[in-house]
Amino acid sequence: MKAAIINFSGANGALELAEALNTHTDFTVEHLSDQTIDLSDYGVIFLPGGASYGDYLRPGAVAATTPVMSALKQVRQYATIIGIGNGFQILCEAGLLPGGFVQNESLNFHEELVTIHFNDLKLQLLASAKFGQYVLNDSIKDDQVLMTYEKGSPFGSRAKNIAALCDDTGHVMGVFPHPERVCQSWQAATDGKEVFEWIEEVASRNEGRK
Amino acid sequence: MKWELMNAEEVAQTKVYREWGMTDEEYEKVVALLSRKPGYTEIGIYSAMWSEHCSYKNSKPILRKFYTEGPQVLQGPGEGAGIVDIGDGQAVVFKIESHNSPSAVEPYEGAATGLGGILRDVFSMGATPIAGVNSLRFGELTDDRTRYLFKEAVRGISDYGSKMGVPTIAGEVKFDEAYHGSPLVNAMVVGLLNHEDIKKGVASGIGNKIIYLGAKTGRDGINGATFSSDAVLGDNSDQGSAVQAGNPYLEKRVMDACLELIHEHSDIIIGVQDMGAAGLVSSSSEMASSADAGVVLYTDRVPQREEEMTPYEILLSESQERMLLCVKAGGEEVVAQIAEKYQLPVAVIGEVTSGNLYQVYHEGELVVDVPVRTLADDAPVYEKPWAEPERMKHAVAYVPEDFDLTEMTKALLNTADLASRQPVIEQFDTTSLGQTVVRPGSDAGIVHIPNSDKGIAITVDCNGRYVYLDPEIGGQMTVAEAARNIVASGGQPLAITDGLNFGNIKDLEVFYELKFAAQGISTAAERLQTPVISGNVSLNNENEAGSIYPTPMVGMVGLIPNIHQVTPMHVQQAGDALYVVGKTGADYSGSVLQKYQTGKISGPLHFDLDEEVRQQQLIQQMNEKQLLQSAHDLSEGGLLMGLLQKVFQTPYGLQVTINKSKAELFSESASRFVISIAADHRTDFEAYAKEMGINCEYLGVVTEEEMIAVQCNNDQLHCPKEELEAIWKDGLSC
Repeated sequence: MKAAIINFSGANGALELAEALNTHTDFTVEHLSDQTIDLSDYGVIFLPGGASYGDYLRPGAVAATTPVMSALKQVRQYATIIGIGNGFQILCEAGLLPGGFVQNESLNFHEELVTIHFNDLKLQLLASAKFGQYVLNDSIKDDQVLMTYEKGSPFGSRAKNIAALCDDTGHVMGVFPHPERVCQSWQAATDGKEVFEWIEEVASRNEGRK
Repeated sequence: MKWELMNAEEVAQTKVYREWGMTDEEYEKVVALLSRKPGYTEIGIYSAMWSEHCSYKNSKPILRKFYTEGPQVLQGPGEGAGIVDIGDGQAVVFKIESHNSPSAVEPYEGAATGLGGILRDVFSMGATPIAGVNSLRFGELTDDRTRYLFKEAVRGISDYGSKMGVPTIAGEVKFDEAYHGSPLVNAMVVGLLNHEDIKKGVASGIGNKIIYLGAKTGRDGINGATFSSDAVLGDNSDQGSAVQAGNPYLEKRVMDACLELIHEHSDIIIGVQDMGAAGLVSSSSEMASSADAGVVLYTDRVPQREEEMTPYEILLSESQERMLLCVKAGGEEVVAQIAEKYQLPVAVIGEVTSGNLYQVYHEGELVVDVPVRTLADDAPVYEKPWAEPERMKHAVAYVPEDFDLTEMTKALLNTADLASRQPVIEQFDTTSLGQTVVRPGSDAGIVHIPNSDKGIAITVDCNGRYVYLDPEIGGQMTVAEAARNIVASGGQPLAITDGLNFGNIKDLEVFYELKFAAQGISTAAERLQTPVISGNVSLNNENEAGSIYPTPMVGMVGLIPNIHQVTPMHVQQAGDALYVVGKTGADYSGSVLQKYQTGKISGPLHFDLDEEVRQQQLIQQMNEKQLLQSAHDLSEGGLLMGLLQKVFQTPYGLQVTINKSKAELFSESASRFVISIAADHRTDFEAYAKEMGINCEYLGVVTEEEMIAVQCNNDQLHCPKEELEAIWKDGLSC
């Protein structure tokens, strides 16, 4: 399956994501600019982490207005769309996922290796953000919540205890902790592998329904 | 003369250059070099180029003596950053830089732009930044202003680093009244490149173009170089404009554009340089001087974000995120396209000329017309007088007062000197780029070199208390400690960069500190085969009480041959044997124990460089044989603190019997490691250490039970680890 990684201006998480996908999936990975207007060739599309547009206004706010977001909306019926970290924030800002992110309770950047509940697994993933409190006023279905933090959000008490979720179609997903930083033999943990293998399964399933 | 605020006669009469830090003698030297009186813009750029910050006029005689050679050195001091070979056609580029004065005034922007500047020094050479490291000093955290400076400096580095996607992988922060009001904020960046991509800051080839790329120029930071070289004393409110503001999003695009130009259009890129201290004039004159060329600039073509800027302001602005390129004639279009892609301002602002003149036109008016070398190379060099500090003449070794071991352990764990750095570390992005192997909090941080098994270990160290007590020995100990940190992590030390932070060198004793600390660094660098490949000098760091402790921060980079064989700092399994390697003596002068008991420090230091080398060799060979389960350098707080650091944040405790007095548990004798090895390797290890003639002492074992049980000759510590760890975790209030 062809996978696209969208390189948003100023974002910095594309390389390690590509390395993770090449290590743990059979995706054929391509990098595309955020000015891309046609995504119909790709079965799975990643919005990587890392300060797109310098986090101006709010993280994800500027990236959400780029041409590639219109292209994403056109393919979301059949492609699988995954935002990681800042990519999750972009999907919220674009209205493709519910809720949004506010600044950490400490007002500071915060990084921590956290335990995540995911399906029947407990994973060590890396939470790393300055705007990490996920807030949600709408109600969502239980099965839209994909991951939760074992000890609550590390970013503050206003946050929902949600680390990853999907939209009501299951095609658009946001994963806030970084699996790509904990999936290689040299990294602090390797549990991120489980996330990528699961993404590949979901993407194949979604493609089957096309 | 529309663009000159005053003519050459008026400059001579008003002595306006004095405001910019230039002396009458220096002015006379300019007159002699030019055989005429310089104009307003001219004397402005001389005063900046001849500042300590740009010319190193006071420290050059010292810097010249550094040990800088070795087969691994591809580029020594003098360029944006130094370069060291790591094999397989790859190299690492690194340098440390200070941003002390700006951080004392505006800590957030000061620290952020300090990191921004050193990042540009590294990527301008063609290297992709792979790791950031910082070394920070503040007063004790007992007043709001100091807490504010600390918090904001950390936030500045964190925000800039995370937005650039460059992980912070090591660092240190220390607190002492010596730095009250005069904080030190030093940042180091390590980059990775292929040998063929090395670019230097040169402007050669007559007719080739000088191209400006990056942020527009404003009036920020004008005379920042001079300001940096001045003391930060009293009211700085009128100097706010000398501090620049950073924009990491712009820097990220400037970096990506520069690296794309260097990697994919190397045929047209002659040279690249950051517009750092003294901005455009410094970068352009240094690039031309490096190539023995002349240069002509048209400052009105420089992208500007403020109106009616004078050539003086444009040449000296220190606006951030700007690069100067020398591009082959005909390559302008390619650069313009890349600039367009990254949405960056770009302009051809001049060209390389025959001859050796530095000429600047503004709207057709020639405002600067001087020989290039007079700016970059003819700055005065001062051989400063020095005098041995009084304190060294009457140094008496400190003898600790009696104490209760349990109480003292708890008290020291709770000091800002020894408390956990976790509250600071967790504010940094330490894992972006996905190559981090060992995060901050260990002896050295380690990053993976992509598509290889290799890694790079990085540390920065300095104990200003030691350097204060004896600059030469303290300087040696600084390099030795950095090397111990690399070796303890399983690395082979490669080279160092030094951030020389000192007080007011008009004080003869302070100049002694600089001279002899540098000498100590150089001696140890040669003995340990870690040449100095880059560095920075920051003088006149002082507060109301006097000069700061001499603080020559040593950033060291080492090679990890196989990242899957890194030696961890923490113990790995219960039942392993704990040893201390190296001799423990009565070394309490400058120790945390002395500082805690007396509130001040005094006394002579003891250090044996040969012993240091032997101990490091033993650990390195043990690493190669893979006999070590863990290793940790002993430094501040001594053996007991080192032991606790090895079991904190693990599921283990320890039970040791140490044939020493309780005071000796806090002795800070140098050249020591504490290690753990599997029980069945004990005999091998002991035989091996004996053969090498190295003092090793068996202490006890790592335990399943999370208790700390320490028996020494005249006291004991028996305490749940949880209790001690909680004190340690909460000791740093920030």
